Amino acid sequence: MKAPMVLLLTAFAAASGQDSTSFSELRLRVSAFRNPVIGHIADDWRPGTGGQVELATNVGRGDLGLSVSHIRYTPTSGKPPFTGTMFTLALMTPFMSVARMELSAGARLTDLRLDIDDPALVGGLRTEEEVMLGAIARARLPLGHRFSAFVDGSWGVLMLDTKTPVVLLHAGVERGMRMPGFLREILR
Amino acid sequence: MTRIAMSVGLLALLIWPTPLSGQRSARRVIDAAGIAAAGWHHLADIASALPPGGTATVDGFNHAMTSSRTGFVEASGSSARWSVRLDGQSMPVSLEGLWILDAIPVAITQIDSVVITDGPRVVDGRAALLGTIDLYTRRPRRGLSAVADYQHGDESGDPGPYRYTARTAPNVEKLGPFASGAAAFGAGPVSIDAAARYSSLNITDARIVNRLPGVFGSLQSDVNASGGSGVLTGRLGGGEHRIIAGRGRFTGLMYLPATGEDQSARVVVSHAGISGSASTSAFAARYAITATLLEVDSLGAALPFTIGQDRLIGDAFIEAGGVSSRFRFGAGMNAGRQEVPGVTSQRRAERAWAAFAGRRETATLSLERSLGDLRVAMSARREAAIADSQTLGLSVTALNTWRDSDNAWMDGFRSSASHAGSIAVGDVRADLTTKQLLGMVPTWYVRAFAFSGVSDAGEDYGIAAGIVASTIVPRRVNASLRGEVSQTMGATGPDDASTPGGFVEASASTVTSGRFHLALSARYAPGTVWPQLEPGADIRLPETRRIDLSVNKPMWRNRVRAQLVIRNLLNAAEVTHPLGAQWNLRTHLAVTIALPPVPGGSPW
Repeated sequence: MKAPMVLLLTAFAAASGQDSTSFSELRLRVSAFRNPVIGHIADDWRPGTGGQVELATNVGRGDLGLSVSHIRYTPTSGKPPFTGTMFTLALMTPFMSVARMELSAGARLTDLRLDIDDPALVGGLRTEEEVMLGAIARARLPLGHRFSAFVDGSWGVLMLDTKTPVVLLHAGVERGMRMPGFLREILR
Repeated sequence: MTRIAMSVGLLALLIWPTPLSGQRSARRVIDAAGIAAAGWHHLADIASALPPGGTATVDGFNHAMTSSRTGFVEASGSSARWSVRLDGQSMPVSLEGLWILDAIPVAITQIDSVVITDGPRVVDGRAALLGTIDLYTRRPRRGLSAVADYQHGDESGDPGPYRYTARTAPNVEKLGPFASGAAAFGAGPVSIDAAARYSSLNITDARIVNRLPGVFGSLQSDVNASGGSGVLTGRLGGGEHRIIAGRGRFTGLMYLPATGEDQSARVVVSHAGISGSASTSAFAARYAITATLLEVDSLGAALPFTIGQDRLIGDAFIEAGGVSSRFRFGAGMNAGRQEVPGVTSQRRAERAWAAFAGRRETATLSLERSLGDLRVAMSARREAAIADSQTLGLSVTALNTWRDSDNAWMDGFRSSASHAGSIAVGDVRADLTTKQLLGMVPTWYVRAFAFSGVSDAGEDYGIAAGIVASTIVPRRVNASLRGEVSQTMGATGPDDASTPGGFVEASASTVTSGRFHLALSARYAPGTVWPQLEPGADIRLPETRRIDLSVNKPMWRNRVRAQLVIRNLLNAAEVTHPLGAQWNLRTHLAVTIALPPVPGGSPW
């Protein structure tokens, strides 16, 4: 738990910079992802391939994004299947450029909504929400015309009663655009 | 010890007169920005501003509040208690040692600031043995304005898919929703501010569920409070006057510290009062007149219900003096009527006091009579500059109550608990403010105190030493530090270590790029040992190791604030009561909307 906290504070500190340009850019990211590590949940379920949509903006020198992703977990031992919907807030800051590729890292906070497909459960227990704190690193390659390709990997701890390590690997494309004036006004 | 405390107090009154309100080391002010940084969204959150070990809660909603050096067992008895006021109006919303803070007739969106003064003092002519918690309402702007606030949180530790495996453990905790809204209109010298509120918290923590086998299923699965309130403010006669009226309603499980009972109850608090000040060129006065009705009845669960009652409490006082005079004189009356099935009891207390406020000295001496009890209380303070930028303050508080032989009081009313005889409290504090240290102005303090006759156990006395430091002008990073070590001896010494022998708290806040208001706070206190509440060994509670983070983002030119709060980032076991829930890492999301926008730099 200490590592994500340090990362979060570091990301905040690193993202600080000239404020006049904050919220000037809107970035749309679409990606597919895999979930190769899911702790002891992997003993009884197998994750599928998920999809994610993210809206992000520049804050100081950093990047603040809000994303929604969805993934399905199929049982391997006769237990009910469930799906996970993740709402993630990620704050990243670039730390290195290699050729045209930009590397960035930061912290992420995820609210994972679990929908368990079990008619035997009372309604209130079929849906649960749990928080996940984690770290994220991303490599982004500009493709031209404000398009970029990116891959990112994240590690986090899902704070269920059994603490569950989670690794997510994303690959996708990003489209950058100017922030609409009204939206920038709202965010500032 | 009692005589020594009284003698020292009397001597100090003659030499250095005071109310303890001037003590920087004992006083903390939480303004609107502090409330935002702390992530408070319902009134009971103010208990978290007490020092670690200062509050014990079973459900995270209602609190038994003590000071950081006196045990809960004695504090939950008859007399050692906090004085809680709203705009100077007394708020007697405690029941058998349990404070139902959410029943105070005000919404958190109407609160401007909270001031906590830790330590015995004389307030409005009455002795507050543990200190005062003062809430102040906001000053509505001209024209129409409105504010709405909504928070939802979640505690970690849910079973998730592990419920189908051997790894499952019971824990379901939703924190909230906490919601409130207020609308105000101000025109000239008059304004009116009306609000409604609702807050709810699940009680499905395993520690509560397992304690009530076979019964829990029949209980309401949450504790919740709701209510409405109105504040009418007017300027008249050279002063400001506030009429506060409201109603608060609590329902759910209550563990009562004084009786050790679980109750499933509905508590309705109705309050009406006026307070304020007035002055002419020659004369100044302040006053408060209040009436508070508590109605307690059963929710009909399978628990034995023993606390049904209606209680009406009235309080009135006036303090006045010449504008050019340093003396003020006050008189007040408190009356109560309690009806429990088959028994009606009444009480009345009269008090009178004299206060002196010099340039560097303050003092108050009060006498209070209630049935056969007679209480004498005094507090005095003197400050002196001892070197460049250094000041030394000395404060003394002492009180003695001579009690009728069989008068035993619980929440101010006759009760089966017996605390006969004399109650005495002595408190001496010295604080030294020195030059800046790491950009902060530190105050070092030492304190010696004695409680006698507060409980059946006998006399307690102790010493404490600590530091309070904070930045006093806005900086890029604002920081504060509080720390104390204390040693309590006597009756509650080794047998009742239910409050820790020290604590350290630190906080820092800054504004980052994009106008994100970032605040980080940390606190540490050693573990505590509670005397057995049920047959068995004494109960050890874990040390407090807590780090909180909050991020506030004002948007749309201060019309909207989005907030993220993460509490207990270290996910350390956090338990404040042996029978209470364990609080793990938890996250809170909140949004606040203010129309028209918050002016100026925004307290957000």
